Amino acid sequence: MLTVEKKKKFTADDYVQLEEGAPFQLINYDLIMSPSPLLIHQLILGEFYDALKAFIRETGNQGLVVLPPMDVHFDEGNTYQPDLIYISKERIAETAKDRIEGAPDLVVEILSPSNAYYDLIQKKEIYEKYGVKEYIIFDPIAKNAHLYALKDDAYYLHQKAQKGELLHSLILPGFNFDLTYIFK
Amino acid sequence: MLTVEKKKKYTADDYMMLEEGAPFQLINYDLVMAPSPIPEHQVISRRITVAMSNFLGDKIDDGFLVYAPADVKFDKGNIFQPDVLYVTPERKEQIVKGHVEGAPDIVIEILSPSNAYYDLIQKKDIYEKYGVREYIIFDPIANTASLYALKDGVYYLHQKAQENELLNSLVLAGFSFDLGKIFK
Repeated sequence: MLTVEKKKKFTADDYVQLEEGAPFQLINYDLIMSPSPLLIHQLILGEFYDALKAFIRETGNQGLVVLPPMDVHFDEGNTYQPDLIYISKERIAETAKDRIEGAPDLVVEILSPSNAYYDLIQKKEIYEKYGVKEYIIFDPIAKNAHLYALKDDAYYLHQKAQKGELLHSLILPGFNFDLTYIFK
Repeated sequence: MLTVEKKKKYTADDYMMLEEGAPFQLINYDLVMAPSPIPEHQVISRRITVAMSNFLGDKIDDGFLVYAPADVKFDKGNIFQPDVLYVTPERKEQIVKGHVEGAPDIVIEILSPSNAYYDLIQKKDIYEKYGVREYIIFDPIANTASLYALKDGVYYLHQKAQENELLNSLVLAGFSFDLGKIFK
């Protein structure tokens, strides 16, 4: 019979005790450590943030766009630091506290091979479960982007955009991110 | 403008020069190092292979069933070592040479968080492109298994089995993976 040492379950309380800035996320009661992202990851994040902020300003949108690191607390076993989040004005009161409690309207993750597992599987399920309306995944290796949208409480792949195409947001109509900024 | 240093492209010839047993795969012209699998990974691999072998055992010609490490060459930029692979009796002669050249009928990968990216994205695209009829991904963290089947040259998710359910093979008609036994 296969026995493995019982792993300790970490909770939100344990997580909050960590030193501020410690590079962990709490994923399914497990403390997952990430090394610093690769350069390309940060460059993509910068370009997307820039484009999104410009759109927010131009349209007079009063939602919040937040860069990492920012804790988003979902439940006892899951506190993440997504790569970028957007919270609509209507939901600020409910979610924006000292940190973020509950689902942002939009979450962006940029894959790195070493921890894509979490973005593609565990975190995606939690985002779906708690109602993140739009989930965008950038893949710097494949040079594409996937946009998942919630419909009847489940994600469907709304758009897969390749290098050279525009990624169209659903919850921010008119925000079309040109992948040429990030994928040559 | 985003620029990153141009990476060297490795080819099948470079790969074949590596020392035998070196823990690499050639994925999209890149030498990707495989971490040493955790013991649990190897136990799951064994249970899968034994279950398939028992099913095939009664047949006159049981095809070609092997577990890693076994090189499968797809093209100049892609030589993988799937966790388990199966080639039907009809295709054995055609693709099993010194190593396997071309698409096995069934490929099975067991995810580990540190390199799930490749199994979920790059390798899946190659398996699809070269016609692996049945691609099964076991997730030992979530205790689930997903079976992708080829239809008109593209994968669709034919079945996702949860813990304790049966995952039914299409290529090996009549055979099911008992997740309760594989993940116990």
